[in-house]
Amino acid sequence: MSTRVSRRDVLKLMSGVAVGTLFTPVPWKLLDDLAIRTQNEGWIAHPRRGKLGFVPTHCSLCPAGCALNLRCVGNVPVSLSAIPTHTMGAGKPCPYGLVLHHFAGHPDRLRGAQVLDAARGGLQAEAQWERQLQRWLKEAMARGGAQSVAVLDPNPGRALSSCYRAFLGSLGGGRYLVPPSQESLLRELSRAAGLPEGTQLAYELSNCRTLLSFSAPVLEGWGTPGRVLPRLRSVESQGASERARLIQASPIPNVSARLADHWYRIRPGSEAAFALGVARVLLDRGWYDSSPASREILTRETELLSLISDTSLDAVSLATGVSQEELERSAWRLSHEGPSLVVQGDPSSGVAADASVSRMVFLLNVLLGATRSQGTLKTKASLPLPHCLRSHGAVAATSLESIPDASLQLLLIDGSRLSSALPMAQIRRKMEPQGRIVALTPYAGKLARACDLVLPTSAPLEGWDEVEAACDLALPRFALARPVFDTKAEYIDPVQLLQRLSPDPKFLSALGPKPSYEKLLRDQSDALYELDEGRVIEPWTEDGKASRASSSSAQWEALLRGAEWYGEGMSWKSMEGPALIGADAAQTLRRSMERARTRALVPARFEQLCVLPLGSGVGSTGEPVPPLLAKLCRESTLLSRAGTIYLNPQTARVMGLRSGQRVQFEGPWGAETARVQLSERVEPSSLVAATSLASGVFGDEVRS
Amino acid sequence: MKQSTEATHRYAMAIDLDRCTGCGACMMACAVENNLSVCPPEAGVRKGITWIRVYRVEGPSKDEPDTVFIPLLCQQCGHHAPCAQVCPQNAVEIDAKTGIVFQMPERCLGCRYCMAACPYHARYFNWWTPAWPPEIERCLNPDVAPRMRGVVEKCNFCHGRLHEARARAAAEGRRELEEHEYQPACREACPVNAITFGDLNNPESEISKLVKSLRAFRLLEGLGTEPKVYYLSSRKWVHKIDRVLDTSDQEVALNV
Repeated sequence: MSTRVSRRDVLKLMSGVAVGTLFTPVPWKLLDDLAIRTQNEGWIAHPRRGKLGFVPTHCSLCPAGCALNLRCVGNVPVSLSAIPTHTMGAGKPCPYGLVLHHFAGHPDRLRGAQVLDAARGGLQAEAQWERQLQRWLKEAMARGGAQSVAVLDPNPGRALSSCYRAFLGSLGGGRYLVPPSQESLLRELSRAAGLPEGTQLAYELSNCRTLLSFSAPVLEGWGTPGRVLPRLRSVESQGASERARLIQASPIPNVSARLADHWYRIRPGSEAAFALGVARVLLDRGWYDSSPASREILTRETELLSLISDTSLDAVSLATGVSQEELERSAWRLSHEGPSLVVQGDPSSGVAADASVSRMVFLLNVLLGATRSQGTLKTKASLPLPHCLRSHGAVAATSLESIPDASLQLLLIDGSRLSSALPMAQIRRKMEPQGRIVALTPYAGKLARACDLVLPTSAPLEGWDEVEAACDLALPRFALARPVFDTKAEYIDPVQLLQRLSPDPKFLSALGPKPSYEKLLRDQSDALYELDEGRVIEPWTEDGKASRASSSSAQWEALLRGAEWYGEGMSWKSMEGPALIGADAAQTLRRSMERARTRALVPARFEQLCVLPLGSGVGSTGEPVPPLLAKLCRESTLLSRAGTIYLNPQTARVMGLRSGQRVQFEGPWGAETARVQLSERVEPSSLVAATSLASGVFGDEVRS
Repeated sequence: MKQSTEATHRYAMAIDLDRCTGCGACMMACAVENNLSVCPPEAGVRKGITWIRVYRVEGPSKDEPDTVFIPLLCQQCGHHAPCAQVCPQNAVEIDAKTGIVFQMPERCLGCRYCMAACPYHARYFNWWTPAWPPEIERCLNPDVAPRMRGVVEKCNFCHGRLHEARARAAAEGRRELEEHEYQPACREACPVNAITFGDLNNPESEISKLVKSLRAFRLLEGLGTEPKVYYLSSRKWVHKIDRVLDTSDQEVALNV
């Protein structure tokens, strides 16, 4: 046999190998490896690797201040989880809090000061911002005096708020303004109750069994979600006696309304009328609280009570669109299934910006016994002032709507964290034509575009911040959100800004040679330590017990570790002394009733619609949200898309609009463009806006 | 194919629809935990990736309006999972130890047969290369690898957390996990505790008790796929929700 290998044999072998290989795992293995390689090549993002560590802190996006455990690689948080054992925040952050570590990396971050340049049509980088701001301050003081300089603080009650007030005091009496919010409503309620100026109120839901809400988004992140939601959404089989019933009186078909136990779809602007109807039934049937304190209040309110008795339930029914039987049923539930509490939403929730609503809410709370010692409406002690600001005359808080129009020359807005939309239309009305708006904000967002000068400030987890108590917590509380990311020099510290602006040497010396927000917070911690009633709690430690810190520095160290201070024994007080709802309440209420009746009697005009907001909270501010959150809004349709308006098909037909069409609608605040969606659930005379319109526009008549 | 009934554990989830408020915290927690990519704005409802997606369904009665929010995720079929049946690449695997249906993106060739086969529409295709803004990219969860363009992905009950829990237990010399040691991100984030997660093979677990209640039901039970995601509701019409749930057209926002 010949062993000679021919060329032909070699070719045959090679062909055989090639064909045979196809029947082996080799090509499939190669394909698999190629897939793995392509998946891990440079164009795919690589998560950070390194030593893992945990940093307990608090979410600073809203006053709920949920406690969070940040999981960090180095100093970069890579994920976060709530701390379920947390006493105050109850460890249940909202969707915005869950993406807290993405806020600092938003592509729309401001990297430097920017000034509005009308000639160049927008914001331009400004290196000389400090000199310019000082010049504006001097001009404003010269033209309108200290009263024409104001600070708008959307988060009052912080140590930084005290600093703003002291700064305005150092100017000789500037204005410290607060926008409409749940906290400002509570202040309004406190005023309606005739309580001393500065007394804070809080809702206490832990013993509430029936909650009547006037458009407050109670199931959509209102108050502290971890405390409010389990109270209202536990299941029958899992402790029915513990669950509070929700009665929602609201014109808006939002989630809170549709998931409520009873939803009364009232006409827009008829909240006070509905409350009046319920009060009428309570008084007629004798279903009201008969404690001496309540009786004393009622004997003083003769004018208001006579208005209530003069108003027939027929008139209320006409104004609200709710039948008499339903009014009686809701009054029965509130009086017989108590303890009850009545709360109201702010204007961004669709409630008419009308003082009569607050007064009627307070009256209902009095009638239902919510103001008694075991009631559901409590007074809350204020935090003491930081040491450095004690010798300074601080100005009092004023609500934005109460100051005259065109009265401000210079307004500084603290937009470092916005938890609800700012009423920009109202703000512009308060400014003089030559007035300047300056904002501290982390983003080049809606607020920045509305200002003359924008100063960059740190985003959450990037700078110092503090957490105050939400509207559903009667205990005074103090917790820190300290920087986790590296602090960048270009971000402006608000305390340092005030120090640079103030002309008062006393204020400057009080703040010290190198003031900072951190030092102010340390001062606040020391002031709290001096109170005997304060306790510090570290819920993630093994014993998790509250105790008094051994020293002020030990307390500060604990706060830096993520602990929380709360004023044990400083609250849970009922309202002492007789309260007075106010002599003008009856007149305000009469006007409100008249408006509601007129609105009900006049047929709906399709060319002029009543704007109702859809959604409130961090997402409604118009400021950028992290891309992941924006993606979920786009892709899931769970959260309404910004820039969408909802119309009844009948309205759309009359106006010649179709679904998906882009329309411009305008009102006193200016014009907005949005996409039309049709929904049978929207009343023909209303327009529901899922836009980030400023809260000042809601309830206004608009032309589209 | 090994069926999950033979598994050591049978991890399952029960979602109480009478508690859910549709807040979206589960969706957000899932997206952060599993490094879901930020798709471009043109990715709408159909092309976006959301491993758990909450739908709103209206009740049948017009006189008494009733609304339910239903979070829809991979139902972790325990019997003849349709996606596993059709995958030509064996990229879908049912873990014998846990009963979890896994999608292996390394094997996936992107044919999307599994998406067509899935009766729950709980699978998502990467139409774009995953991308994040640079400052956010550094905040990605190191326990989960981002997936490439052209592969399918879906919920895997936060498998990264299972690995981590196992590693922690092994470091302590244990082989078995306590129930609280392994919980998916959605369950952890739910503010109303509507989600319960646990092992069906443990008769003492809370989930074992919940799935036996009269309130429990599963979606499309008639298909015989034995899903391991249970829903709970006292409302009878909600038990028939799979007849009205239309996941293909959700253009109208759910809030109105």
